[in-house]
Amino acid sequence: MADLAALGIPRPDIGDRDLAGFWAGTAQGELRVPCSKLSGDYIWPPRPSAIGAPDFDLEWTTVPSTGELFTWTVVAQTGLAGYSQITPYGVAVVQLDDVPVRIAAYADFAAAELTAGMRLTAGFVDLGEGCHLPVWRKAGA
Amino acid sequence: MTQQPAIIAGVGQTDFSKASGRSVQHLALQAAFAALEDAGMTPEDIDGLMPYKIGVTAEDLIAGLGLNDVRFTNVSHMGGASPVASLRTAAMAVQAGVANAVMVFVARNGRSGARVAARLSAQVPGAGLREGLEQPQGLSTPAQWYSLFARRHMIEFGTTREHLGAVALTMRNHALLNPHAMMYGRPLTMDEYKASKMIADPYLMFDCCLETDGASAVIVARADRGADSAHRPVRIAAVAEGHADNADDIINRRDFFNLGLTKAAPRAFAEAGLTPTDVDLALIYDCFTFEVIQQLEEAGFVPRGEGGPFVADGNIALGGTLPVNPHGGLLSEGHIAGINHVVEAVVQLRGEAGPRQVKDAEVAAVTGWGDLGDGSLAILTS
Repeated sequence: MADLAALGIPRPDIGDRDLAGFWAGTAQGELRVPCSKLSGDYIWPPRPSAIGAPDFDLEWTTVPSTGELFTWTVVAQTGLAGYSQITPYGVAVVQLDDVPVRIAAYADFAAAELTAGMRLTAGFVDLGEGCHLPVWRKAGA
Repeated sequence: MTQQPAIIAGVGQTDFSKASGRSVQHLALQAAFAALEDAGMTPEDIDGLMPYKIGVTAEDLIAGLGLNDVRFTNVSHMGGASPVASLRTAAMAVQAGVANAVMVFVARNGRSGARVAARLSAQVPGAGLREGLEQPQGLSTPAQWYSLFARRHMIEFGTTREHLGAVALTMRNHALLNPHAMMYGRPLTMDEYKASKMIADPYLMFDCCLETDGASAVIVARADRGADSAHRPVRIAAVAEGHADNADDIINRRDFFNLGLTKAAPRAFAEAGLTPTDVDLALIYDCFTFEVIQQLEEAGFVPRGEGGPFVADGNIALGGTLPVNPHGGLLSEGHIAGINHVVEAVVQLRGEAGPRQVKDAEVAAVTGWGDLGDGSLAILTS
């Protein structure tokens, strides 16, 4: 599939205060989500504290890198750098196994193959300079 | 003490086009003067202004209209849900005596000037999540975000391409009755709809609203101030706003289809003492075709999951059980952040809509949709 690293796609700020733990995880080939030690709640998308509680001591916790396709879009028109060269492409929203978390990521396979409920597994693309972008790939592929 | 009801005393618009050839300040003044004339008012009567978050400012209109003492200004921060939500703020202001007459207005060169992508970067909530998580994954526009709703609705409820197409065609058929519409004189067939280019599957080009140059203005006043208008007054019976769970993120909503409107609608209906079955016509913020289906469901006009067959069976067409957007909507009349829906509701409730008039229209519901599904609902009555 498309070589995202070569395309010059928008790069995340891996040092972002609220997201750095996520990017630290992807560099290790893992998906990590902040978790409240007090309630056990997963806080995703990441926020500075537990929802509705002054619990700022969140712990980045590894979650499954597998799940089921919940919904998706096929982007045929975009002004985003790099991505504009590879339309149409899929963006898959995956309901992770075992945890109440959905992760949206580039679908690293032909968009026509996106099917409701299909099993997907996270891969990690090295964008250089310590940045590893998660993408969704077909399970077992 | 009995509170004076708030009314919409006047409405005004420019022509809608792809290239106005005028500044946004010029457009705003044109719409403002038209609204003043419609209300039988002069600039001295306006002492409150509610601009849109982006574009022409209150100060632009104060200077251009020569307003000598504006004592109330306010800006709603709900994207396209703002103009409808602003009706409530304006009504509160006039009922509290903070202002006598408040003009709510939107002016934009939405096609020839700053288009949707540029406007978004100035207003979208959760910017850190958008830039930090979504854009690196190739996700960046409203068409893409909301297409996730449409696809999931197809998976859960069997909503089809033809259901989306029915919305597009109904709006177009309505626009054919409205000389003010950008798509007046341009019929659309289901085959043409299906053949239009893909934007963000399942959204095709004709699932997407227009981008428009133009302006609209609405004057809110206390009922006793509207006496000089030649038109039947339109009463603001109730307005409510609401915010979805999660307000700043669509992807992880536990109840995936919940919107701000899901919360706003029951509040507005309760305040008005009415139910969805009392509504004679609905102005639904049709930024995309599926959002009409979703809002009809979330506002309580049809049970969740049944919106697709509801629109395909002709219920939303003129002559149907719930005519929606007789002017052609954002899909076929034009897109001025939905304030043109308020204008159409007023024209309909006055009985002045000509060939697209909804017979005996006495209750109109107007929705607003903004950002990641912020919602507002106004119930207007004649």
